[in-house]
Amino acid sequence: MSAAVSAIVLAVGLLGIVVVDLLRQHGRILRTLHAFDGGEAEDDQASVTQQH
Amino acid sequence: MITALLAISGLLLIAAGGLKVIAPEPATDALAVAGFPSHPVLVRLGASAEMALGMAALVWAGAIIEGLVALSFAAFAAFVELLRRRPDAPSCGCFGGEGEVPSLRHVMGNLLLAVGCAASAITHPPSMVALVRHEPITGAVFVVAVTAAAWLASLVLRGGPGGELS
Repeated sequence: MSAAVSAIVLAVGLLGIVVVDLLRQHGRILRTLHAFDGGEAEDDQASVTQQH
Repeated sequence: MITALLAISGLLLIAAGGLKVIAPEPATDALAVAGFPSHPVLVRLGASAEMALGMAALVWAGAIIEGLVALSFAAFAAFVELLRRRPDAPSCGCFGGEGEVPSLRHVMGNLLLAVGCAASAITHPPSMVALVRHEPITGAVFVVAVTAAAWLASLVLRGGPGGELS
């Protein structure tokens, strides 16, 4: 039984690492999107200012 | 714990070997970057040997096979570390894919498996097949958990589900 328990513990630990990786990737994607949106907002602001 | 590490190592060898047989090009490029002889046929031959060793580790655990598995993972760790020092190495090709960044995590994971298999060569735990044969219910749980762990370990070694984290 101990071998099966060890395997489950290892699987859960590895799952934890994968979940943390996914969260990090998600955070990175969100930061990129925010940066892109911010850049677009600045571009819009600049074009509005130019029109005025 | 050592039985599980040995089984995970065997399954990883089978999976990585199989993927390299299907797609040997990234590993061929990585060997060339590291300055080793590189040809898809050579990679396929090595990958076939890797698969055979993985299967042997699952079926007939013994000091020689476990020692060979430990040496394989130590060699993989050294190879990935060598690639880490080369800025022109985009992928280690361990799992037959592009974008498998040679990372410190990959080196440490391989070393951990090498140590686990070396410990297994000393302590002689039962193989996965022997465990299933002697304790079918525990063995079935073990096989499911170890297969899941091996798949997750392959994701972790490749640098996360997207394969781009280092």
